[in-house]
Amino acid sequence: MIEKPYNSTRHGLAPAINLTLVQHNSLSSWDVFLSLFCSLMEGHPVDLVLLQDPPSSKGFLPCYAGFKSFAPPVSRPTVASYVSQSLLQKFGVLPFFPPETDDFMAMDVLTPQGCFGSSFPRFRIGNM
Amino acid sequence: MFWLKLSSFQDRQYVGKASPPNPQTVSPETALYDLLYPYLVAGDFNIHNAATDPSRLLSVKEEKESAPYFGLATDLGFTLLNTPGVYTRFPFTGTHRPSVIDLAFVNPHMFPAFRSWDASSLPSTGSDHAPVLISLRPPSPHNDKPRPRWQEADWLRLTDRLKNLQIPPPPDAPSPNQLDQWFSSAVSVLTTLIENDTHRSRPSPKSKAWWTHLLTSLRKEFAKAARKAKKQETPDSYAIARQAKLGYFKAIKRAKATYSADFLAKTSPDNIWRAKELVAPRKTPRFPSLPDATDPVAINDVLLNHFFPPKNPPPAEDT
Repeated sequence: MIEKPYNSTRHGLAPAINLTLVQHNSLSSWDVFLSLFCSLMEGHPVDLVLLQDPPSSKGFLPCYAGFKSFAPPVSRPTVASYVSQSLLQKFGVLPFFPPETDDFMAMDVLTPQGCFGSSFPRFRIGNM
Repeated sequence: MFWLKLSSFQDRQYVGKASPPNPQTVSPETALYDLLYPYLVAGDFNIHNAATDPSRLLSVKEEKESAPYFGLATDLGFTLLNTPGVYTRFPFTGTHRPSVIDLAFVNPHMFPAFRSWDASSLPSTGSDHAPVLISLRPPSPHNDKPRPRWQEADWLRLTDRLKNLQIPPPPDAPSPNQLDQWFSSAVSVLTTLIENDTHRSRPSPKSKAWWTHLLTSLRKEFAKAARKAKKQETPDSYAIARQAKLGYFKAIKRAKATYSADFLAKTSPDNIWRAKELVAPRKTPRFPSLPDATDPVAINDVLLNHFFPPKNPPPAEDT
């Protein structure tokens, strides 16, 4: 019998209850990025970081332990979203980039068991 | 793992060449739209509006730029999460004012989950924008039940009605149980009559415990004076608007102080930590954190040693 390559306990078997997110304009600065994420490590766990003007080099965003980054597919994105691995392990996250602009992105978080005490099977976070 | 090195502090030069934000590149329709499930949008909107910064005198251009966003948000039932008047951008240059341009909106499906919007708890990162922390939680069951507003009761009218109130006479030679029942029913008739004629408060988790009707009046006066000053543009109208503004904010401080004093006077073991927060609030770090540097002096030393490393002593000359 072939087993699934991923852990079957993920993808929203529990309702999404709490979400903490941070919004920040990092002025395309590596130092701001580093300082922000260092400060986030010291406090309450953060699930989502919505960055405006993220730093980038040759089309790549900086990465940080415990987070996965999403950004519009352009050489120098003006927005980027960092999703914590703990959130990704629990729920499916589907990024969405509207074709009319590169300065906006959204992410659909799939919550089949409901979210925030409601029965909605998903919620959306926009970043601009 | 992040792949930055301390040497990348050289790009701190951005501080000196920070420029004003770019004009809006995302249309209101792209950012704010009707969804059948919870939706939150946050970002650097780069717009100024009286709803986010009540004390700012807006130019016509600023009003025109922000109106489509706030108009659409209102039409779609979006709620602004920002605390009005709390700045999110502190420009490095002295020619620009602090402003509120980092905004967050939620649609009606998401709003019940909103718990807090905080632009002061995270330390500064070196950016001229403040990092904003937003918390979403399921709505907690509301324990506060509607209460009668006794101060607003029409006692004159109630007095007349109370005089005409007919309470059934007590039974003859009642047993203790019968007496209790008669008394309970009489009290019920009396309280029902009074409460039916009294407005009830509608407590909300968002309501400020220290807010008073005087503050509501002062806020209206302040807004009215500010609009008048903007329209007339005379020194007198500006002076009146300034006085109204000072009076409003001083009244807020007085109301908060009065509430705190009253709260502390009634402190019990159930709310001791809330009282501690009022007396000695947690201080927010004012300096960015750096590895191996925990205080401003250590940060200073790290930066100095990095940018101005100590020179090696010159080799001794052969004699």
